[in-house]
Amino acid sequence: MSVVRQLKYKIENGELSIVDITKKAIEKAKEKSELNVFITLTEDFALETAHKLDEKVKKGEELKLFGLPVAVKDNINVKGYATTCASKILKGYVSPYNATVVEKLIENGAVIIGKANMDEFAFGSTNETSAFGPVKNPYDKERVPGGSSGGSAVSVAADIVPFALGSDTGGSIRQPAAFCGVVGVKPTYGRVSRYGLVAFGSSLDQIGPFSYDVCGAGLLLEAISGFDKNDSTSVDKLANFKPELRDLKGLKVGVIEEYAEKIEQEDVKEIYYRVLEYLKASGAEIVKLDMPHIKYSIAAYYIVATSEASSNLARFDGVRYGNRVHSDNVKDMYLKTRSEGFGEEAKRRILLGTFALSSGYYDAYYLRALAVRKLIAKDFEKAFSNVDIIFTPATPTTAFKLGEKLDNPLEMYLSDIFTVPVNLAGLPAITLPVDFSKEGLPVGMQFISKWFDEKTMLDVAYTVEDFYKFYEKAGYGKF
Amino acid sequence: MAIDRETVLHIAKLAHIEINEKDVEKFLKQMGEILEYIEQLNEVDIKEVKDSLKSIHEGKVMLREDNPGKSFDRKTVLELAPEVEDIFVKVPPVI
Repeated sequence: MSVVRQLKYKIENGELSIVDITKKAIEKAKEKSELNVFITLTEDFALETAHKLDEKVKKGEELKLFGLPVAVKDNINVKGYATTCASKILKGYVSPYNATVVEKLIENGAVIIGKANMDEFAFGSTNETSAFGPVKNPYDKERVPGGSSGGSAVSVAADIVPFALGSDTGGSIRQPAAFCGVVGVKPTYGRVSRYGLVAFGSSLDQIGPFSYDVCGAGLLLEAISGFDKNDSTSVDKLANFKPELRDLKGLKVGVIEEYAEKIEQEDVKEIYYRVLEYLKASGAEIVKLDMPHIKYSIAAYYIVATSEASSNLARFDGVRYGNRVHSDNVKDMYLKTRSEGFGEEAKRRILLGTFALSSGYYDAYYLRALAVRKLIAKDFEKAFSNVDIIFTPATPTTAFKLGEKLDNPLEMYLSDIFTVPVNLAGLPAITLPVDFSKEGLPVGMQFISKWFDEKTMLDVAYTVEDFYKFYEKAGYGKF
Repeated sequence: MAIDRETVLHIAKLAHIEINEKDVEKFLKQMGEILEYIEQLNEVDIKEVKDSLKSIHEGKVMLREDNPGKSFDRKTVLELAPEVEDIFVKVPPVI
């Protein structure tokens, strides 16, 4: 049975109280401080919420998220606590409001225990660009957890919390989920409100869940979904995300053949083919897809994402909030505040985006990248006219060593090859941990659904999960 | 394309970011490599794409009715500012 549901029963039959679980989660967060998961622990708020929720449970009230603890990525605003985005430039900023997803967590009876470490402004695939130091992978502390939602992924992988929220602009939920052996979901663009999420690439960003298993991820996704008047791109659509086992017989599963060649590690490739064999043996029909533009995804993404980032990050100037470096004239204050406040990767992306949007280069770079993005989305549209779901690896390798890719940004960008196209097309996708590599590191696979068809992807992932039962091997849910 | 030193400095100026001598070389090299990789977009035939600036996402983007609503009070907002005088956010001289 789902690990998250087991915890629910323990709460219901009085074996554990919400206060007990909350205290245990905070205790674990402190014990495992060498993993560097949290930038801020919201201990007082957590305990206060837990007490209130225990009262509600005693009165027989149903809590959609069962009173379970959750970690929130530190680019999502929680009222009364610092939002750092793992950057020095936001020093001193305490959020005066809750992000919509945070309101929804509270409404649905979750306990927020802390703000999770991340790559600075979500710029990175390793969590090494954080101004608060890197997060460590719990399976091997010499390795990265992935990024940018590394803290969120590890909060679940290290069994500190059963739930976490991250944000995914090019793979920032799915890649760390795969590197750390947890389930991560990037919802359809518009499924979840972005109000209160510090913007990186506004046309790509989505907030999504991490959990021990598919059931937990579905539950959290359902709780945070829905239209919000404060985010004009959010959509009002029915969301029932309770995963169910399904007969895979006749399910049309699309595969992108050239992707298999892009897997750099033999044991990852072997696991990919093993899952493919399992799908075939279960009666799924495997369909080879022709997606001529998908190979341009990384190139298009790094123009679109950095352009939007450079524009979104123009607001950090030391005037209204955050850190200010003092000077005797305003222009110099902007310059010094931004130069001292932003880390190297943030500067690199701002410069790249500013370049792509600047006079003389706008048509050649930005507009061209947008056109290619359209073609990639059309490739997916065509593919989905013939298949129910697309199956791909989640990452070309298992988690890399700390420092391995830090000096080679292009190489780091290329590690997002399987996740980036999904954001360009605005599609939903899930990464599911399946097995361990020879070195004992988690290996994940990805399922991509049609727009707003998260249900199919959750059902299929749930069925595959039921066969491999990674969460049992990982031993999650010890409270 | 190869990006030159002047372009990097010009962009940095536009972005209000100061980069020192050592970093100019580094950014020059790294951005050059990234832009060279991005060159491959030129192979793609985009003649048929007519609506690149239109959102790829479903549905229409709706604007809210312009109704007055509750906002943060002045005190809350001013507390966030690095420097304040009376009821104003203070900045160094503009000219």
